Amino acid sequence: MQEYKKIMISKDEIVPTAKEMRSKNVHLAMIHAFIDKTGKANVSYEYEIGGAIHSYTVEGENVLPSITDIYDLGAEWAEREIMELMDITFEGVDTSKRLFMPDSMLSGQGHILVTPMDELIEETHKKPEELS
Amino acid sequence: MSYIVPIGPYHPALEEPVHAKLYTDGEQITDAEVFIGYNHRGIEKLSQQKNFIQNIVLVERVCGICSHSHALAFALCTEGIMAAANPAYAVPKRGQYIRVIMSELERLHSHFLWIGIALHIIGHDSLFMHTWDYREKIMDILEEISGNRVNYGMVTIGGSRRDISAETAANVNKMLDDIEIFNLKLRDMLLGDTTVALRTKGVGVLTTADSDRIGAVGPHARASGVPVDVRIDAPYSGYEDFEFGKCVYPDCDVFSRVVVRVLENIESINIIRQALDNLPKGPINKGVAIPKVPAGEYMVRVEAPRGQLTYKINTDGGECLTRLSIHVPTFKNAPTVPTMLRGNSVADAGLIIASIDPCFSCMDR
Repeated sequence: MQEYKKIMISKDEIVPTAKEMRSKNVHLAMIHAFIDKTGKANVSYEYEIGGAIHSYTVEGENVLPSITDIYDLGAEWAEREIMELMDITFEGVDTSKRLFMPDSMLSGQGHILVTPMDELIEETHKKPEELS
Repeated sequence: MSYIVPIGPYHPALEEPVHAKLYTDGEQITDAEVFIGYNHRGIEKLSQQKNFIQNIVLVERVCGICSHSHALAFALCTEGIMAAANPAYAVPKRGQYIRVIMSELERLHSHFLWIGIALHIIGHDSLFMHTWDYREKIMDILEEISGNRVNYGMVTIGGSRRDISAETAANVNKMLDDIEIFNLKLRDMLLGDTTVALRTKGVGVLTTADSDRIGAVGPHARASGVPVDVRIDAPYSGYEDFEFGKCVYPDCDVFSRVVVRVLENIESINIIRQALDNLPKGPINKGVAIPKVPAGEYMVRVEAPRGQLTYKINTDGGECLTRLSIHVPTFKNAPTVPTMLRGNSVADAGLIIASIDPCFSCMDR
């Protein structure tokens, strides 16, 4: 069984933690995010340390600092994907081009992971002229 | 003269849709951008409406090539949450070994698929057809074991769904003998062929530092001299019981990626033989009832054929999960493409993009 350890941190500790990990050549396995049923954001920075995952987690913050200048494109793609799929923003990340969702969706549209399934089904069955 | 050359979303060198913009100065690529999402099916969203057994069927459909890796990662993740609440929870050893055998057969057919495509792109069509001919033998065995050529349905929460009989094991061993002989010939041909060398050596370079900086994974990272392999670094499903090595090659180019995959085939054959020879007796799973998964979260890494596959599940103790996050190797390797393209000719762009063994269906979910 692979070891998984959750460590709660504050928003201000995200960048110092990332810098420390990068200086030790620790691999950033992924940045995960979800909005729970109460609407609280939950973002986890998953670092691989000695075969284990150390999950540095920030709760209740929808606007977070970006770590793309520390972990480059490996972090940028993860941050852009999260921004496009749910209402969480990473400061300083270029949102002028869409990575994942269609170009026609403006910033703030297409948060399918937090949109109720009924609304998504209704949208899917609209005729082209009915689409906003 | 400067041009922006679009590649894709649909391109003969790509099995699946992706869009790349190449910024060129004459024949040379000066910069590139990659855009994804053309195969987005909302699988993570759909998973929130299904129970844990239904989700195994769903996640297998993320990818047609590495479907077993997805089902395995999902099962391991769910089992991790259950084991956190009940430390005595463990998958029977025979079930673990069957999972390993399927994983390595999947790796073999995936690597043969990629080697064939690479040969086709560089214009070596006769060897491409030979390679895919031998890949069919692996597909036949996968069908004999599971009943399916893809989407094997071999994994359940708590073990494997089907056993491997002594007769099937003998057939697997016979197939491995054939594949091993061909793979050794293939290795010698690829490593010694002038045409292959001219088209792949020095092309699409990703240095060890760049690989580390961007976070490449799997054979792509190992071909840049980075010694990472989840099966050894963080063993799962009984991989710690087998003797095998990491295939690392330091040249950092497309040729290096060919070498790594051919050598990994040899390791996969060795792992399957060890698993079949030492297949433990006993049950293959812990029953087929829908599991009761307590509230919790767990993340797992699996070495899929293309590299590190990560699954994270959040649960609240209900019938369905609250969040499933799937991140595939291509999501981690695709950001390296612009770096590899810079300084190369437009004619090599298709080969360089294909050299990461991309699976955009996987990436988009």
